[in-house]
Amino acid sequence: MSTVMAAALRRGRDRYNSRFAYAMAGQKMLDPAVFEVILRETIAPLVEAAHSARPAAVDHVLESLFDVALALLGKGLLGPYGRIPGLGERWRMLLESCPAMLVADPGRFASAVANALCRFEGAGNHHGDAWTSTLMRLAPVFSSLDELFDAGRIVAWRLGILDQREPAFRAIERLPGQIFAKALELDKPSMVTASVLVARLRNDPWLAPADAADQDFDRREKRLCLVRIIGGFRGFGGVFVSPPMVDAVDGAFVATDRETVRELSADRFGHSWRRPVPESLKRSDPQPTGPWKWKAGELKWEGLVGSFPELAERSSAAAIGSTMAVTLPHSHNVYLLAPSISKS
Amino acid sequence: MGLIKRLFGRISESPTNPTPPKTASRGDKKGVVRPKKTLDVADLYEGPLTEGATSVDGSSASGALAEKLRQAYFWIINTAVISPFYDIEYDDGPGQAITIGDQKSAFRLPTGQSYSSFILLPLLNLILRRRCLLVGGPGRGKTASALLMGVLAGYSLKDVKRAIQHGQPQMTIADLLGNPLPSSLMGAASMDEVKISWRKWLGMRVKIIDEYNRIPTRTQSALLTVMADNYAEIYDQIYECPEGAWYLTANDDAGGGTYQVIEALRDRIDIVVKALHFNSRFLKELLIRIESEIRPEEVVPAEIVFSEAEINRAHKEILQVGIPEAVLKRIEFFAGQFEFCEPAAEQFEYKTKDTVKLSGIDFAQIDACETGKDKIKDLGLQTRNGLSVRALMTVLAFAKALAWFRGHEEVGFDDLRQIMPFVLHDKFVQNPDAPFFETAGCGVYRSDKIGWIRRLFDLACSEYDRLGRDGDDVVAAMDAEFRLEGLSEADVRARLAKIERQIGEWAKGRKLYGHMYDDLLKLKYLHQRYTNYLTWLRSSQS
Repeated sequence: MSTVMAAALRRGRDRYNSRFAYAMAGQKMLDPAVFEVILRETIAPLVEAAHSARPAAVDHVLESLFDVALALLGKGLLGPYGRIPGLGERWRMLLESCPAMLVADPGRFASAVANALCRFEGAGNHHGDAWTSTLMRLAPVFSSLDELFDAGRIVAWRLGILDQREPAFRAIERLPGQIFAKALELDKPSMVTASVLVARLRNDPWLAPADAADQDFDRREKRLCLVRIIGGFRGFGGVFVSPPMVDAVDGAFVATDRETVRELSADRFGHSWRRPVPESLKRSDPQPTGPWKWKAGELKWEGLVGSFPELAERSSAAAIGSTMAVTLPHSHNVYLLAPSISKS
Repeated sequence: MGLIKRLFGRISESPTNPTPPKTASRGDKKGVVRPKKTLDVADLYEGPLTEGATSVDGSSASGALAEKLRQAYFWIINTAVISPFYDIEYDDGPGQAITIGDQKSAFRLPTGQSYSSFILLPLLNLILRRRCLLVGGPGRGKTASALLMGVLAGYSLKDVKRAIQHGQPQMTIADLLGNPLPSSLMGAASMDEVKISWRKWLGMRVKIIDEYNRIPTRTQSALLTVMADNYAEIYDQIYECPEGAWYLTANDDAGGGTYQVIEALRDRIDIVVKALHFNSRFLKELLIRIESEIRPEEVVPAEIVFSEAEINRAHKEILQVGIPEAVLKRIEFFAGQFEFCEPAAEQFEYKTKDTVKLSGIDFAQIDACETGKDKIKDLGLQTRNGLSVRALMTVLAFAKALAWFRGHEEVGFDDLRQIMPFVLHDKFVQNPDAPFFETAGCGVYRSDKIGWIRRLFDLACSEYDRLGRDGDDVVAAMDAEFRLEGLSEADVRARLAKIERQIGEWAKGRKLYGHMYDDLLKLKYLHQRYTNYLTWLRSSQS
């Protein structure tokens, strides 16, 4: 163990021993040997990083990280037997890459990052690594923890955490242009203001951020595309046991087979299935598909025409705004169609 | 290990107040409907770990803060401070009272969730950001309790300990507030150029003054400025302090100590909490602490630590708690009992205890005056002062806080009854010579101020009920009727006659008690407003 870490532990020996004893009293799972390893391999490098940034902050950083690590271990999230493999490593790497923020507010930083990494796992999304590495790459541009958190929301949305879509939009409006452009992975700075960019993205769930940032957005040609195929047979890790039917209920797609009813949310970066509220299903009537029109294998929407012969024998179709969901009698999938900007 | 687990168990994960009643228990029969909660989409940074149990944006669901404070309360009471006292009593149904001892003391077993004032009131003070005095003998946990409040406010134990101001006879203003920097003092051409090194505690949101009655009088005056006006001043330099909760400790709440506490400083104390004795039946718990080397203040769970934003939000939530009209009227009636002093002056407006106090006359002389009233029934005789506006505002604020803590949206009668003694503890100056204290079983109230004030309130409420003020309040009815716009001369005359008739009724045979004094002054006010209007009406018509 580094001398900095050893000295800091020595200074707060009674305090730390007391906290561990308290935690032990409440959580049988805590193993002193495992926590020792965490202190040596995960916390010590962070304390070293804090020491390089601001030596006076070492005790405060250690105290905060000690508590967070203890809580994570107690909840079975950290350590060699942790429920989320690699969590400790990713957590350490991101914290280590932002030493200035670590010393500024270690408790908030450490617990927020741990929570975010747990959220990825909780949402069945395995892009925690990508989220960490993206934020590490962007670390030099952040001037505050709030900027890092906002960029984190944008990156999480792009990595498929769908409920971060609205928080990401609000983050774009708060962040400086240079940071949100990097978080959205735009090749060049946005040609439009953040509010225009957000309005375009909010209006079209399938729009790429780079297209939304284009000055010539209004002149770009659109065509109807098959934007996503989702669902699948449960036996192969999908959602449905038999080919589903789809409907639009209270502004949301609801797909059902003979066993399952699921509400679908989707955009360019991800999708999610949720159990709908039963009351909303009871009062629902089949929704007309509005301006969407089928003619043989051709689909028409607001002057755009697309040819989808493979969907001609559809078993159900429903439309919400610019997105149409279609199911087939012999497929466990739901097919999503929407207008999309043609590649220039 | 089992014992350690029992003593230092984790914070309660189940609701600490699972079925809070939604209506006040007395004087308020209106139901309270909680606003429907809206969907709260989880933030990316919310999850199994809480940094002070808040999201990164500092947001949390409505009602969560009260639950968090209850969790903090139960963690302290079950883990940190051994205070097995439940002196703030609530009953969900008929409570049980058993008479014990020669004095025939009532030993009550409350049926509702009851609380220890020593823990609960400092917690409410933390959220309300008021000034709390912890009194009691040495080693009762006064300073430890104050320390915990600092840790709960998000400060490290080290910072809180360093920020404690220990009162001692040699404490100077510089010790308390800070020093001018010697270099700037030498080079300064004017006072403006003197730079002050302010003491760190001034900038904290929790301020602890240990043994404040050992601070010399001059330094107490400097402390008064900080407590009252929230700023410190040295060499014409001003330091603006943030809003914060104050905790002062004293071994003797009567103002004794090395120095007499100046009255203005005592008056700034919003609530007084007594540190009760150590119950020897809990000695084993102490032994476990020694053996396990656990110091509770070092292991405060992060889940119960409040950020500044949370305290601000909780404070706002408390202000939203309503006080029903029926409860407010009882406060009015109670507060009206004490200022009136009939022999104090000739003119009606000056018939107050303040007049006596300012004149320097001994209260015993006033007590000796015969007014023809029942000296036991007249509650005003039991005090040597009335209630200040500040005291009433504090009563209202703490009653709201207590109701909020219990998960209520409106203050109930019981909240008021429970909180009043602690707020008015240092506000009322008792008149120990009052005949009331000579009656059977009431001598004990000379030393038991908490019990005395609660008894005062109960007696006031009995009188309120006897007079049927909930249904028959002539002054309130006249006040509700008061409106000048569009009144004809005949209407005004009718109203003036009504006021005069009412005053005449009262003058017929009833003795003059405190609450009637305020009623009379209110009627005089209404009479004057109508009279002025009548004069204007006549002049405009002629």
